[in-house]
Amino acid sequence: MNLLDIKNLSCGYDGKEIIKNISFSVNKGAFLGILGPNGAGKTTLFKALAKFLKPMNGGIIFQGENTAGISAGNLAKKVAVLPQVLDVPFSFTIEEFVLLGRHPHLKKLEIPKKKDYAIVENAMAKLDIDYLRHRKLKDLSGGERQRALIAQALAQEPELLLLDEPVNHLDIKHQIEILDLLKDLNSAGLTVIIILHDLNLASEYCDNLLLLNDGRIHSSGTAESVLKYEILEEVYKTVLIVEKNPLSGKPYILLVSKFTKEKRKRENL
Amino acid sequence: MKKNTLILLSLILLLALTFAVSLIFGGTRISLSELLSANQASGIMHTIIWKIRIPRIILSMLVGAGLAASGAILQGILRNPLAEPYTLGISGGAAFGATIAVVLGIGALGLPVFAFLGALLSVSFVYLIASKKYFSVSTLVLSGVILSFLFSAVIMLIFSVSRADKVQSTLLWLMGDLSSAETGLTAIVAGFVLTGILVLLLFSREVDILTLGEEKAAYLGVDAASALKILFITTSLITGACVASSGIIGFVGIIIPHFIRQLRGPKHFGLVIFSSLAGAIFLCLADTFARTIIYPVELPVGVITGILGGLFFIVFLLKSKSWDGM
Repeated sequence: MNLLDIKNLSCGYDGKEIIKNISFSVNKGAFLGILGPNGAGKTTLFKALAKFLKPMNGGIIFQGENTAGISAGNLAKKVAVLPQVLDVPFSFTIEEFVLLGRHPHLKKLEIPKKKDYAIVENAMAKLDIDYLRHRKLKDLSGGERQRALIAQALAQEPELLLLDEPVNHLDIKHQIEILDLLKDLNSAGLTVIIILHDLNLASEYCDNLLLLNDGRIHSSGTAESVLKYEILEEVYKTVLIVEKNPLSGKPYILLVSKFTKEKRKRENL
Repeated sequence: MKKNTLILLSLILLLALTFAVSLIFGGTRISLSELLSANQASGIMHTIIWKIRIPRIILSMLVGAGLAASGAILQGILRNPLAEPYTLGISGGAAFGATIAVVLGIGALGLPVFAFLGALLSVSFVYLIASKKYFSVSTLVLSGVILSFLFSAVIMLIFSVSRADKVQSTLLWLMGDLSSAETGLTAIVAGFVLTGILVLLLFSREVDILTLGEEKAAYLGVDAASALKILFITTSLITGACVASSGIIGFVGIIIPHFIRQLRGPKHFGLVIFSSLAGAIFLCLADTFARTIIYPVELPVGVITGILGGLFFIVFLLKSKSWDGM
């Protein structure tokens, strides 16, 4: 059985369809990357998968059950979600913040038990942020903050982790650190669906890719089958060169600037 | 955990001390021996202690606790440290009700009823407007602000066609006035405030999560819209009872939660308990000050909370190294 089946899904805002009749499946243990230009509907699809946005048509089947019939509380026991923007106005310590991830598993008035604290410890240790436990979330660097957010998600003990551009504002070292970490979690059994802007990161890390264009799936499959220059130039409407990463053998995308194009033209090449 | 117990014990001790001090000071100074024999005391002293001073002290503590607890929760759910119990339009409605009561010449007993009805009126409007759209923080704040403007315009309209003495007595009430305290009123306010604080405590972890925004709250399994509804109604009833019994006392509901959050972080279970205690202490002291400083004239307690609280806040702001209000 697939972990997730998306069947003829259409959704959007204020009656306007953004995602148009999409169907795909996600296996347990997959590491799926969602790609596409700005406005293609990546975040809209993401919100629908996370049940924050109601489908206008079709549905999302999680472990054989339509998510429309699963309460937010029950879904949060199995699915953890990192939205693109998370603004936290108050100064929680990292430990307090990660502990909030236990909420779906706690009953009303139930005080977190030893077991919950152990899970929080474990999550902080996995993310290597236990030494930051008494620091305030807003005092952390971008990379540390992202780790704290993932630790909170892990405290939910999810089977599926959804992330919307989690490495956007990070430098290249921290991008790789976070994605390596997600890959490790994935190897340990966590299914990951991740929106990425950087095609090269997607190529290197994702087992499968879903390329969205104008609310529809343009192509899907392995990095080798999706990241072809014919496909990418059509979707992104810019000239690109696709090479091979000499170490991993995965596709590597190079950009071509207007300046370079004009220079080549002048030199008659 | 140790730090929390220490803060809790000191606050309870301070509250008891405040009670004793406020009991002794007043127009009539009560000596310790008179106080200890208050049960046997007869006549005027008995009346002053049991019918006037104790109800007023307890009312001031309840109102201080209610405003501070509501402020703490509203700052959390509105994700704004500048929010206060009056942000969502409740003061405008209560002031409207009180103005009507004064202008119509309804006595001191009717005023709290009118003020409370006015508060309920504005709360219902805000609730209905917010429900028409998706029940969210932004629709709540918008409709609250709109209602406040609407009511203050109507109050000004009433003022402009009323006699000066009625305007004056309404204005004094608006600045906060605990002098109408008596046993019955205090008991009613106690019912609202204490039950309300219990409900807020019940939802404190949901509030922690709502500070992360409605989207993330949903991902952590919190139904933001229904939690917001319950919390909005609860804080409204607490604030409504406070305002109806004692006018629009400012500053307590905004500064006390700030101060406590600075002291021990933003988790709302502790924040509500500590803010309630600190609010009770603060307002009781401010009221004791207001009724004794230029006796026999009583100052509006809102003036005192504003001045004392403002000065205290400035000193604290300047002294504190890491103040961020969050």
